Amino acid sequence: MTANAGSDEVMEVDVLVIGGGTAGPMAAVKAKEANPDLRVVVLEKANVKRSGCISMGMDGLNNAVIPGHATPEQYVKEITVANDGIVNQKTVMAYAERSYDMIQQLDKWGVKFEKDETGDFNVKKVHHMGTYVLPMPEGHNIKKILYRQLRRKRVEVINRYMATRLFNGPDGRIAGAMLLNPRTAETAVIKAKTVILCTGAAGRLGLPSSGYLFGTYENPTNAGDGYSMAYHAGAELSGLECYQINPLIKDYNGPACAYVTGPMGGYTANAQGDRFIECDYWSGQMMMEFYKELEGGKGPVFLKLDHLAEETVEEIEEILHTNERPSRGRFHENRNTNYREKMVEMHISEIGFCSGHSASGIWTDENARTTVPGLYAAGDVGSVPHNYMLGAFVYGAIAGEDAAAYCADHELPEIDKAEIDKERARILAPLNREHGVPAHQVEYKLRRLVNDYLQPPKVTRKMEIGQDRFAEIRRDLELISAEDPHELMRANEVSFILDCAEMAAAASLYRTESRWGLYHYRVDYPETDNGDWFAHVQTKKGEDSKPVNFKRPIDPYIVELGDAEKDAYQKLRVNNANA
Amino acid sequence: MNLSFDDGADLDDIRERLSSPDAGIRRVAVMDLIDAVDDPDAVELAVKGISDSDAGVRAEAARVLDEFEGEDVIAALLSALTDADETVRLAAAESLAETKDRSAGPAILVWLETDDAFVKASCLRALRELRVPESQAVALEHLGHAEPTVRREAIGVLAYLKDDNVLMALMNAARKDPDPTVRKVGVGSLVFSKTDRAADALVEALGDENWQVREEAAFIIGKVALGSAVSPLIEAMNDEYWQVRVKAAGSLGRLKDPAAVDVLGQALSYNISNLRKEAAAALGEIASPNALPFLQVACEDVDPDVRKIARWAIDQISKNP
Amino acid sequence: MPSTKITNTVPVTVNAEACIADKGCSVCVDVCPLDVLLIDQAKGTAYMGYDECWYCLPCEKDCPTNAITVHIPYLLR
Repeated sequence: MTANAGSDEVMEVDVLVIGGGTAGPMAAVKAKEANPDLRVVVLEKANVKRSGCISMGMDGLNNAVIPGHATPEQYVKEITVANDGIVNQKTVMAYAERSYDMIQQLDKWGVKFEKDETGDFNVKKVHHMGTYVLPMPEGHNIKKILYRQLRRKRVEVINRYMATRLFNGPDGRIAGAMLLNPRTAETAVIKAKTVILCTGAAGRLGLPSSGYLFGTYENPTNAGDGYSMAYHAGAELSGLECYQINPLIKDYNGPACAYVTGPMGGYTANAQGDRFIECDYWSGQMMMEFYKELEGGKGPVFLKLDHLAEETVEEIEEILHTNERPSRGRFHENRNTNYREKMVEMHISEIGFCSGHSASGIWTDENARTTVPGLYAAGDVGSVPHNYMLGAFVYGAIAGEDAAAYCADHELPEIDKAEIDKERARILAPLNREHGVPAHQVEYKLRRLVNDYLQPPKVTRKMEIGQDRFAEIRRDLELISAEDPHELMRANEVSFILDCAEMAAAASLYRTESRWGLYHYRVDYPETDNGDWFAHVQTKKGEDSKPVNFKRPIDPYIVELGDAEKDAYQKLRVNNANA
Repeated sequence: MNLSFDDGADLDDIRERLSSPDAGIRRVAVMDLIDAVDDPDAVELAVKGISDSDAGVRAEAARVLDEFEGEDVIAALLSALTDADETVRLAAAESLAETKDRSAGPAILVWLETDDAFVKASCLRALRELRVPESQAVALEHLGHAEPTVRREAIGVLAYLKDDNVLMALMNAARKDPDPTVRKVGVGSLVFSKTDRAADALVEALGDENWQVREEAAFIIGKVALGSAVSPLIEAMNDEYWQVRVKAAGSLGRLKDPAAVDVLGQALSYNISNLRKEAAAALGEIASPNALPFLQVACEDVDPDVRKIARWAIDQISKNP
Repeated sequence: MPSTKITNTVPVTVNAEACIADKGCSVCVDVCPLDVLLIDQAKGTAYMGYDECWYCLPCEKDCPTNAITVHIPYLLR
């Protein structure tokens, strides 16, 4: 089967948003609000009605910076500590300052946050530090509301097209993207003054322990498309050694939702039913403690709800079984796990990239700009750490507004025809091969290798062996054959996953110290070395088409940490090491 | 070359399918209106769907109408509240509750004159968000309705308006309503009384027969900083439900009265760690040196959260001159 | 390379009686993030064509006639 091998339909737009999940629709709406005359397009591999990691809604905000409960300065401090100091504080501040406006905006649009009986936001105090949890027990309509806004603002929507590569203009700035239709294998080119990458996490990097390719923590549609495309477009990526690893319900691989159950009295416990986490922050340190307990004599780890009252458990079930990952109810049912009687076995997720939960992303400044002019990144794929859903909305808005302004004084760049031809040939090649290796086999092997060689604890020699194996997989890319356009999509995703695996290995090897608890625990460099490594580790595509790494200094802090704050954190570590 | 991939709806096509004799085809056509919310002609088609002969079509129309605004939309949804089919009625109520258009108030108020409890509850629910002053009198009337769902929604309307003049009525609901869920909502509604006018009702609710009412009362007392309720809260620290004690401990912390130190200190040895944690935090808020012996023991607690908060609390005490 | 087919159970089942794909409905196919649902034009019903499921449920929740049931994939059940 050969699809249109000749010319491609070309569409010319001002703002091309790639990814219609969380940040993407917000970016498009805000670009259109900034200048209704702009042609703004959202491109979505699935369908914007139900795409991205919030396709079934969200059950709460855990980084809501609401006046009276937390200040932006306090939030910036806590994120700085949670990231072991490796943050560009300006980007975190830019989020924190717009956090509350965004909540109000979403509330006005009809997104349902928990309110008290008088209609005021019902912010939950979790502990003695800043208060950031705002539950959304009825948060299942969020995608519907975003879709309504896209339609009302007359944003153009292109569903069921995936972007495979970005194009640069003659001067290097962004010029557009190559598209592939996963149902027809048609290709197309969109020329754009600006591109906003909102493609989410790299969710198909590690293999879940169930062995099921699509049973991932993140929405498996997100194969790392944006990380790969930014890389090939020459953008800098950051913190790729700071993996995402999350606690989750074992096998089901969905979140345990501690911020839903926590305020209602549930918690993470060891086999004895006791809490064991010392760390106050959602961080690699917390995951290290989780990992140790999981592997230790008091393990494994459980979600404990069996001490709660019947009425409370019913309420928890109502929320958890209707929002975000609602199929967990039937998962528990299959195993006869009743929250009232049994603790729920937990585990840790496969590794991935995701700034939403950790810090790995395409490097962006406080305006969501990447290092390639005209190219933006927002949401899980951008580099602003611990951004979660609300950060995706805020950075989507920032990117949309800034891109709209950029369009005003830039012309549409030209795209080299030869580049287009080369890319078309590359992405369609598997369709023209007969008797090749199917994409799912290559993907399984690649992701199994990621588990074997990249998953922490990280060992230098193992990661080097991993690199050799990845090089072999790169040769295997030339063997993949696809029987239909759907398989062609999967074949192209394997190439995204491979780029991510190679970048993860390179960045992890480059930072010769341990940091962020489990996220970057190098067994042969167990200490944190602030002398040499108090810096961002950046990744870029090198001359030889392989990743190159370099340090980027940390911008001077705009919110200084007190000694006590730094100290408190160090003390926790010491206590834990002695335990 | 100018290619558009946009999958927006083709209204002429939808219109044609809506006149099909096949109900399934009409139903799918109504569903497709969700892609046409930016088209002013779409609303009329959605409204028409609500009087279709087929219940499936009507249900989809009731669902899609929450995408649209205007008098006709509200009128259609209100009429669908009495539809013969339950799915249609529920969908209509849900869409009606989504409206943010305050000018819909009078039309909704008219429907409160019907006898149907479901219609009344749905209308009150929709009025709540609109916060129109005219709904206050009607909501007050409905506090005496036979159905708990209606009374619950009536409280919602009043609480959202936050008018001190109806405080007595809300206090009454919190104390005397026969339904515990309604009493709980009543207690929660008193959160806007920043004075101690609601004190009697809140303290009384600490002795309610239902533990969730007591829990809510213990929580709200702290939120409104009801200084006069320290003794009853101390008493609530003996409640048979630890959940109530957790909220009472939290509120005692907010009230910062040293009189609570002993009872909170004793709670540090209770077997539910959530309560030990809250008690330690409360002792830190009160910051009385009398709590030190208790907290020093808590620093060795089996639960790391309790240990951490105990350390923090000791730190607070040392900062307190 | 020579190849073979292996059979997998798939998590999504469709009640053919209830499904109205023959009336032009394609909601489940539209909302699936992984694009694994297809419509059998001859039978006029939807079915799962690829074993690539995130058990996320939009197909089930958005189906107007409740024709779809999503089971947890066997490997992680």
